[in-house]
This record gives sequence, structure tokens and C-alpha cells, in this order.
Amino acid sequence: MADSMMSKAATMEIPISSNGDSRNLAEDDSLEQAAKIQWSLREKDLQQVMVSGPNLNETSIVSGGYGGTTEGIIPTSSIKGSNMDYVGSNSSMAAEEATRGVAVEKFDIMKKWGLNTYKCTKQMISERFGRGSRTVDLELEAQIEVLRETKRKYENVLRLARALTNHFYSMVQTQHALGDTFADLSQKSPELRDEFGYNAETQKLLCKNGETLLGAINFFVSSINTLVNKTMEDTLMTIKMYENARLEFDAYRADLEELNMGPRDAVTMARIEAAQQQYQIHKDKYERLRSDVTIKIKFLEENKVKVMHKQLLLFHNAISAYFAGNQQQLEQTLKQFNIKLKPPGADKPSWLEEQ
Amino acid sequence: MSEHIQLSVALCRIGFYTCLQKLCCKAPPPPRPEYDVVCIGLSGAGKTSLLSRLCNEISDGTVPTTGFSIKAVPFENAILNVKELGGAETIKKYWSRYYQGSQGVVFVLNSAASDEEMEASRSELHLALQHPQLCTLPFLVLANHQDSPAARSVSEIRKFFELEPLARGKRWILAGTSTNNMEDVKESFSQLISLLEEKEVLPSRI
Repeated sequence: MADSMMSKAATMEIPISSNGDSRNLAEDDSLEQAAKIQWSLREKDLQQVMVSGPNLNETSIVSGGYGGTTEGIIPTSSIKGSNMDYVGSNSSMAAEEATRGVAVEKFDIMKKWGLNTYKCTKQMISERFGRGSRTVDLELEAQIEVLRETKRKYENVLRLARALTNHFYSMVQTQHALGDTFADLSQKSPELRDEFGYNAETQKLLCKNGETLLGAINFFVSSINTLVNKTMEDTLMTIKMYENARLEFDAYRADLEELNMGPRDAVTMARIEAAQQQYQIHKDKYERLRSDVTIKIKFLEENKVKVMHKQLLLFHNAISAYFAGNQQQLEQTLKQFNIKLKPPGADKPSWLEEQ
Repeated sequence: MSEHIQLSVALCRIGFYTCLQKLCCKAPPPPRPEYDVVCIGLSGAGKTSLLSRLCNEISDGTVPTTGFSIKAVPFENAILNVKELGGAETIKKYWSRYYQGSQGVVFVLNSAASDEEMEASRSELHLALQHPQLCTLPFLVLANHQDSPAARSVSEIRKFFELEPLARGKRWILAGTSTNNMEDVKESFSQLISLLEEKEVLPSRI
């Protein structure tokens, strides 16, 4: 804004007489005065920026900025005589003030973040090297460790179940192909028609039962996947937040202890007061998250038992029925758990096959 | 010389087939987006039954949800990871602990419930939608048990729950549902997915 005013003042038309002298010398003085006022305004601006720090929000564009609008331009009529009335726009000044406020706010946020990061890093390092003390909730940390171990074990179950699905799918495909080959051979070799026929029927039946079992295993895999990667992950996210809060709390606690051990002059007392407030904020946050984790672990345990009870029953029944060759029981298992199977060939061919 | 010709013909053939493949063959479908949604409502509203039916699971003999349960509900254009929270008095107070990270809200209510229950349901919905972690999210209100003779109509529920003033400036859907008509439920969830997709493409304000 100051720039636009300067440029306007500097390029104002000055009527020239035939001999090259200015017609109205008073206007010359007023121009000089205008320039002085602009310079003092600019100096004030610079000082304020120096105090408040840079504007971190580089993306924000202030309307009525440098050379933006005609607001804040000194009209020629106002520059009459030695006393000059500065007609500035309140709205553009307010906009600049607001921008400056945002800059200060952003700077404060950056400063707080920097301090917080420094304190937490310092606390983490001192914990690693066994110098600093840390808050320990033995019971909760044991539960967290058990949960992490359980997740690892369940991930292993999931990996193996997926491998079983893949291998079993290959076996079913092979049985299907073998059945087709036997059926073809039974038609082409009359002397072994019956033998090839029996084998073709057996392979087809095994293939049908295999597809039913695959449906059950896929349902099992899908449920375990949801449990491990969604349900447990939700609780583990809260645990990560709790661990971060614990580190922050310990960092601010150590900071307060350090200040309390130092001298007690007026400046230090103010710092202790501020540190006490920060300590309280982080203590509340830590305790809230600790309570969250305790409840979530309890609920997760209940959910895990409920889900796994159902899934293990399904898996056991399906596998037992398949390997006992009990087709009726196998189909009954799928009905019991309401698993719908897609009929063979119902699903569209893959994009690779559509060539 | 003939070897060179054969080689060039082979290369031309490979090039031709590659171009043909690029033009004619479909690319693999892009992975379906996943959205995290929280599902709340009073006990007996039918949250578990609706979600079980959506997942093609058996829904009879449903027991009240103790704590919470997460179900991955597949739809044509997205997968909803629905975090279903139990509606019992002992569990209700912990709802807010599961709100974090949610991208949408599903509130299920029993439209055939008594006036006291409806009042309790209304206050819970208002509380939830004023929570800082949910207040900006799109929400779906399902007036369940519409097949019951005592069920209130969707317009009655809209009026009773004061949804118009409550939802000012928010994106929301109110739908009547029942476990006998899953098409309506699927349609409602599809509308919610549309709102979630809209929210995703909205440009963030600088």
C-alpha cells in the first residue's frame, strides 16, 4: 500500500510554465511532505515486521496489497498548502493488521512446535541412554505388549491361511482339469470307459467340495484380515498416541523439575508458572489417553474372543467335513454361517483374460 | 539376409500386438477407495442386524454388541470400514473415544420405539453431531424397523429429531429402512458414499 501511495505521489502531474518554472510552488512542498510521511509509514511497517516476524503464510494474498486497489491513494485535491491530510483506507489497514496477526500466530505455532520437538527429542535421548526418568504403568504396558504379540501371531495365522487358500485353489483347479481329462478319455477309450468314468466323477465331486471349502476359508481369511488390520489397528493407533503423550508428559515433567531445582528469582518464577501450566496440560492429555487405551484394550479383547470363536468354529467344521468326505455336513456348515458361494464361471474373466 | 527379414518381421509383429493390446485390452480396475465410518445408535436399534445383512452374514440370533465391532462392508464403488459401537448405557459413554479418524457417521434409530426412547435417541444424535470430531462430517440417519406397525414415518422423524436446524451447513441423508428390504439400505449407503466422495474432492481452503 505504501508503495502505491509513493508512486502516485511521485508521479503526480505538476503544471509547468513556459519558462520551465513551477506554477504553484506550494505544491512542491506538499509533495516533499507526502514523501516524508510515506517514508515514516514505511519505516513503521518495517519495524512491526521485524518485531512480529515474517509472514509464514506465503500462500495468502492480501486484497489491497501493494499496487492492488486505488484505496489509500492520496488524491491531488488533498495536497493543497503546507498541511497535508493523510487519507488512508481503514479497511486496507485492517486487512494488513489481520495479516500481521496471522503471521504472528503462525510464528508462535512454529515456535511451540520447535520447542515441543526439542524437548521430546531430548527426553527420548535421555531415556535411551538411561539418564532420564520415565513414567511407567506396568499393568498397561504389559497389556500393550500382549496385544502387539497377539497381533504378530494373528498376522502369521493370516499369512498361512492365505497360503493355504492359494495352494488349495491350485489343487482344485488341477482336480477340475484332471476330471475333464478323465471324462474325455472315458469317451475315447471304450475298454477303460467305466474306470475313467469313475475317476472323472470322483475328481468332479472333489472339485465341487473343494470350491465349497474354499468359500469357507475365504470367509475365515476375510474376517481375520478385518480383525488384524482394522480392529486391532484402531486400538494400536490409540496406543501410539498414548505413547507420544507419555513422552511429551515426561519431557515437560523433566523441564519443570529442572526449573524447580534452580534459583527462585522473579524471572524464573514466571517460567516455573508457565512450565507448571504446560505440565498440567500434558498430564491431563496423558491420563485421558491412558484411560482410552485401557478401555479400548478391554473392548478389543471381548471383540476378538467373539469373532475368533465364530471363525474357528467355522474353520474347524469346514475342514473336518471336507476331509471326512462328508458333503452334506460341509454344505450345512456353509448354511450355518450363511456364506454364499458364487457358482463357477459366474465371476467375469479377469482383465488379462479379456485379450 | 533372410534371417534379418525374419527378425524384422518378428519385431514388427511384437510391436503390432503390443499396440493392439494397449488399444483393446482393459486396464486393471483401480482399487476401490476405503472410508472409515462410525455407526452409533441406542441398543436395539438394529445396527448389527443391518450391517450383518450388508455383509451377507446371518442376522438372526443377534446378541447386543459389547464394546465395538468393525466390519468391512463392500460396495460397488467403495469399501466402508464401519466401526459399530454398542448402544448400551455402559458403552454409550465411551463412544467419543472411537470417533477419531472417522470420515462419516451412521446413526441408526428404532422408528417404532417409545416416546422416551425416541427422546433419548434424539439427544444422543444431537450430542454426537455437535462433537468436534463429527460436526463437519457427512451423516446418514437410518430410521430402522419401518416394517413394524408402530413405526413413525420418515417425515415425522425428521420433524421430531429437528434435523433441519441441526444439520444446517452439513451434508446429511435420512432414510427409512428395515431388514426385510435391503435394497433401500444399500441405496442409502450408496448416497453416503457419494457424499464421502464429494468431501474428498472438495478443494481445501487456503
